[in-house]
Amino acid sequence: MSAEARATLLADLLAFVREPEPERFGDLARRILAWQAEALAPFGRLVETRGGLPDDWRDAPLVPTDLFRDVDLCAAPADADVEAIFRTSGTTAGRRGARRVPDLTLYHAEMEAPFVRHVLAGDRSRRPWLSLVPPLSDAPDSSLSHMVSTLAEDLADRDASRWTMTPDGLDVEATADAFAEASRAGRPVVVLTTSFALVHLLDAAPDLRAPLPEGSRMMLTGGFKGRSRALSEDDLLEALEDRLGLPAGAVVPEYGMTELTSQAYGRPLEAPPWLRLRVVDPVTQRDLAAGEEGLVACFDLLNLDNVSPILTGDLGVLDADGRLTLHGRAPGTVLRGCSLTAEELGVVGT
Amino acid sequence: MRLLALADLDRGPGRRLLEATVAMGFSAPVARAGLRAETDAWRAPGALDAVLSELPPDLPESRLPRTVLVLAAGTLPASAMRSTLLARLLGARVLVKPATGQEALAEALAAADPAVEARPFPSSDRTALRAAIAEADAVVVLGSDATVEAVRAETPADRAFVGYGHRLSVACLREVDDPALGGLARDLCAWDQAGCLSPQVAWVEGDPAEVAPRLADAVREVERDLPMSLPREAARDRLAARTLGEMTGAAIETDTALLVALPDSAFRPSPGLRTLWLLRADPDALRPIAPHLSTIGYAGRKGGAPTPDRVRVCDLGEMQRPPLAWLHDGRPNLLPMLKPAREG
Repeated sequence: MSAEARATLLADLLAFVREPEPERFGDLARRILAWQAEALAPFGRLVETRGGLPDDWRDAPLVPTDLFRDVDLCAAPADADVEAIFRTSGTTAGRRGARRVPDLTLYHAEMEAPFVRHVLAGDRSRRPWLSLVPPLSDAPDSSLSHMVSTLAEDLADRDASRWTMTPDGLDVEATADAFAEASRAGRPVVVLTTSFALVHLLDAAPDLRAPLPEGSRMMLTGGFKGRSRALSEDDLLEALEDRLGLPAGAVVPEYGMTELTSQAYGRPLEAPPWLRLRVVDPVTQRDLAAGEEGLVACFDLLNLDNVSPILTGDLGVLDADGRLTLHGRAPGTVLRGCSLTAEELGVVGT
Repeated sequence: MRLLALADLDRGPGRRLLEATVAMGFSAPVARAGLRAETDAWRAPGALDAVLSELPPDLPESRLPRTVLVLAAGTLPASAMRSTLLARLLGARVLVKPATGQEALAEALAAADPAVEARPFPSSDRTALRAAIAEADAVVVLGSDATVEAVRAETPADRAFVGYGHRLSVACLREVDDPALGGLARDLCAWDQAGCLSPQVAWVEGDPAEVAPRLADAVREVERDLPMSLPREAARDRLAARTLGEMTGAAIETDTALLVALPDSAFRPSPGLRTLWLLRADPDALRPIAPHLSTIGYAGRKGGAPTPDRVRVCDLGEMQRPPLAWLHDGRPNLLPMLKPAREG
């Protein structure tokens, strides 16, 4: 498939992001699968092995996110210049996966509207941001940092914003001071944080009580990944209301990952029109009915130069409207035997 | 030894041991075959004499441990069973602390011999651990490196301590013929690839993708007698391994096993449950994992690999059948459990 064909697909995807027409999803998905099967040799071999291109995008072979650690799933040649290389945190399995992104056009086109709608409740006015996510300058290979930094350019009151995650970890004192200052200033703020950074803050600053001004919002993303104690969502929301004065409705979960271009938001999580969330049976990879727990799978139209059908390691349940509630990480293979992980053996790089 | 009553898996304590093993997640045929292999090792001609020959003829009775604490791994029963029997060979009373949820295993061992006592307690219960250690002259730990180190830290310096931590095993097919493939299939299916002695990868001469279908045929022969059900929680790891093979090499699934041929030689850990990586032969591929190696199963010429002397070398088909006198991790079996000699 030619560069011209890719350019046509890109244009069609950008048009879809601007004016989504859900009934066109299936056609776009089929064209994208055909492009990816041709442009990504490993994915092409997978499709061929599983019987060729499917008529229905739901029948496309799902690529487990782990494969980004082993295979370069990118349409661009290995020696080509790319606009970004995003890497996983590596905390689940030690090794870090990587996604090379030759072209950030789709990334930049899609990220703002869902964020504004869900996290900012539709209010695009520039407010002070307090970010416990590191800035792009400190974490150039983090897709989350890329997203938050890019959004901040357009949406944050940058002079009044604070970034308190440093290369050495969370600056607890500076973060607590920033919350206290925001509480005193009386101007609504937007807080961007991962779950583990937030719990670390609450634990490390037990005296922190800084009711944030009404209208403040929080984007909360990610699990705990063993970096802090794990807290149930109910307990975390209770602590946030108690110590930061944030009602549950102001705390908006975000679901994204290095391997995806798009993000879902809300409680339950709602995907934008270009991302389909599925819950599948771990054995058959077939869709489960609403209410049944299974593995979360995604088809992200905007993963144009990588792979669109992705199988995550998360457990979840869809409701009748296709919205997702996460149930944590899927348990892996029961550890039986004395087998070491590759990381323990020191036979893999990071 | 009374514990050899365990060899009868159809009645009495042997049956309890079989049931406890099945409760660990193994099919009855796999459990039966694995336990039989272990009891066969004890009953092999000359086996007891060979292991007892470790002891010096003038060993004073004062050095024999009166009580040995065995902390079992949650993997398969053979290692705990062997450690318990070795301690009994020294005449010691044995306290068996089972892995969480595997109390029946310790109870089965205890049912065979009044000198063996099940001592279940939560792994996080430091007080119970210290109390058990206080009763023992020797402590034997089977488990993760972290577990071994945690127990070592609790063990007073005047007690004998024997820790068996993480190890892994691999196969090298320098000749690819039917006996070699049959042996590898048996090694893969024994104990469902759990434990330190199961092959995680097989380095093969030639193209791994050409060996995979032949090995699959051999596995199909073995799995008829040794069935396994893949746990639901393992399905995703299995799919990831299969997909990697389909993307970069080849993947063949049998009723129970997954054989993945990859184009490179670098060791990679198996997700277990009969998932085997088939890699191109490369003598240097063993080097990075040499410190962690337990056993290398060979077909064809043995040895010549850059590995420590303590690494066990055997024929394919024998990987999960270590003889009684095998020096586990390169150490004698009985001497490390003796009480330290007093000077003067």
